[in-house]
Amino acid sequence: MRITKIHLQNFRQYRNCVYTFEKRANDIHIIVGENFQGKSNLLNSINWCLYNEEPHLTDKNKALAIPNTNALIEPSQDPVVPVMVELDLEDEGKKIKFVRKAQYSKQPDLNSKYRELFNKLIIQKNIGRGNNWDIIDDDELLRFEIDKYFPKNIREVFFFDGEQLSSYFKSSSTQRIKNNITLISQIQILEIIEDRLDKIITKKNSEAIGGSKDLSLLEKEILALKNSNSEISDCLESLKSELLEAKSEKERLDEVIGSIDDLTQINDQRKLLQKQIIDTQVTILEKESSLIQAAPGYIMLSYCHQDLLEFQNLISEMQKKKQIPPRIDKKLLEQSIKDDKCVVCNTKLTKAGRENIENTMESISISSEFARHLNEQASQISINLNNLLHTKELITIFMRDIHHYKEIENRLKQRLDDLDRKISSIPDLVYMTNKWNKRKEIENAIEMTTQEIGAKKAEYKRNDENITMKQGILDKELKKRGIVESLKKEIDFCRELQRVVTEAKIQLIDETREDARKITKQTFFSLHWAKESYKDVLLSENYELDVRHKSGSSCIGSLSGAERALLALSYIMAMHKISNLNLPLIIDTPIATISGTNRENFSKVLAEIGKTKELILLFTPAEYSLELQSVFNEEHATLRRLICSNGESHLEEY
Amino acid sequence: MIKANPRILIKFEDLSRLNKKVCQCLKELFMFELSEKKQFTDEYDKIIKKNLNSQD
Repeated sequence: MRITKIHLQNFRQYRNCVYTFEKRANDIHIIVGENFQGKSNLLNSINWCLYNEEPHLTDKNKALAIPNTNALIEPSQDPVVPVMVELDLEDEGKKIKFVRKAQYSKQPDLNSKYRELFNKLIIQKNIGRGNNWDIIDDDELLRFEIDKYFPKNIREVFFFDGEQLSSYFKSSSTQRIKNNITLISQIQILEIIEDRLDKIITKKNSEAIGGSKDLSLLEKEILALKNSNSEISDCLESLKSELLEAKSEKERLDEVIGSIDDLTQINDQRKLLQKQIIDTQVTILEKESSLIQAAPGYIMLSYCHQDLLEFQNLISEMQKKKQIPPRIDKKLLEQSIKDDKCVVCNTKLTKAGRENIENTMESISISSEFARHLNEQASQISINLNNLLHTKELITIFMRDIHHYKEIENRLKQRLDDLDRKISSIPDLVYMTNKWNKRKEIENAIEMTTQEIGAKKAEYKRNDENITMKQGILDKELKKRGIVESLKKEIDFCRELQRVVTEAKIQLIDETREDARKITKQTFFSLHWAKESYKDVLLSENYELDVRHKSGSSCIGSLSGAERALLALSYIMAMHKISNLNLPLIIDTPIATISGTNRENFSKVLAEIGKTKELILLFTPAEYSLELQSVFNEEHATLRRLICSNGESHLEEY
Repeated sequence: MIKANPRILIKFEDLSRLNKKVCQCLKELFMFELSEKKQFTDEYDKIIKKNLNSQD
């Protein structure tokens, strides 16, 4: 299928402009225009005509109404501005026109907006019966026709902004690839058939059950389990998408973070070290405080240490020489006199004995008191000397501990300094810390989602086993009751249809993904200007695209802008082939993100693609350099310059 | 314009080799899904009954 003409009236810069695309030896059409001349609005006009949308608007465009500014302000009798975009196609001898017409009020409303008064798409089809055109204007049929020629959900692989090519596999690419493959290969239709057959089987089962309450209950249980599994399937799909999205986001963050160490871990380590340092300092303070308490007593005793020792020795010497009188218990003597008998032998005291005791009491009153004092002092000195030794030991322990904890404190401070030095060398620390924190969050989310997926799968399996068991009982009961033979045959037939569809779907998903990989690889290698550097293109079960370097390592992250754009284009060509749709390719500024000699290389790739399908390329004059002109000189079918003067775009020969 | 993905049609043939009715019925259901999106229940019923009762 080819686009043969695009006619624009009063659409943005286009007052009245007709693009025609005649096929010659090849089918490359080049339009060269500065920015704001109307290149992107050509893409917008196609989107507006087909889907009533303009996805390629710049901020400047967004501020403006669709109708041409000159047409809005031009004095005329007509209170409205008509806008039209007509897209003419040719498809295997048939001619089809998509024509969208709209009308806008020339009077702005209170919000300074030009109100749309009318907007309608019609399709005209000529299927080779002279000048007879069928007109389609029913909304339902229009949607159907658009879906046949330009399916909206896969438009991004047919007309797009070249700036997105080099970043095609950077954001949400896994989900995009998965969607593209299931939509383009029509596998989603199998899912619809599978689901609809299920509804038909349920309906027929209900008919077969008739009025039986037991079977009706059983059937309701089966239906509830099926509904539950259907919800689980949706939930699983969405969880898997979330997981893929989270993994892509993690990859993107990894690219930004590069070789910078885990800052969340470093920050956790710093916090732990800071706490340990404070704890150590508190312990040192406690030890120092104990030392300070023990020190005065120790100092005082140390001063007296020598004297005490000498005094102790002196007493000891005196005791040895028996210079200290024996200690006589005066109370015993007093008791003996009071009782008039010896408290030791219990014999009555004689007169002489009494006098003897009285004399002894008098003589010991002084010497015994002295001996008692000396003994007490000797005992106290011994205690003090022991205390001194004990305090000395304690002080030694305190000193050793303080030294030990100070060493720990120094080591901790050293480690903290090392970490501080490490993070101070990181440029834009706050930004990177945020990225690391975000990465941590995503890692946690990935773990949780993975667990949730596992739980949902287990629940699905349990339900499925229950369905099979209950379905078996239901089938047996229906058989016993002898349901109408024709109904039974229909149910069995539907089940067989469903089995084949499910099996086909499972096999096709794998096969189509492999096809997409093979075609992407084939195109990438056939068009690459330095293919010898690479070994393979992979597309995993999770729809992650990767390129393997000849050494075998993954290298998609280190491809140049031109190589990434080529990979995206190769993938897009694979989607074209898989889709079975022969659609043109329209690219706005295809080499915008490519620099140097790769521009020429990439243009040669485009020239090759132009040999197999209609290719409409929109360049800026800076892009369309002499090198590119030499590439396309012999290859283009049409070459025009787009100029906007006085608010109106028109085409000129280049 | 959109045509049925031939790979899907071949897959139907492969997987229902022993039952031509199933294969034909699936092709018709598939074409129905590719064509006008009207109320599916009646159309499915019609296609299923027609193929089930067809002569091989």
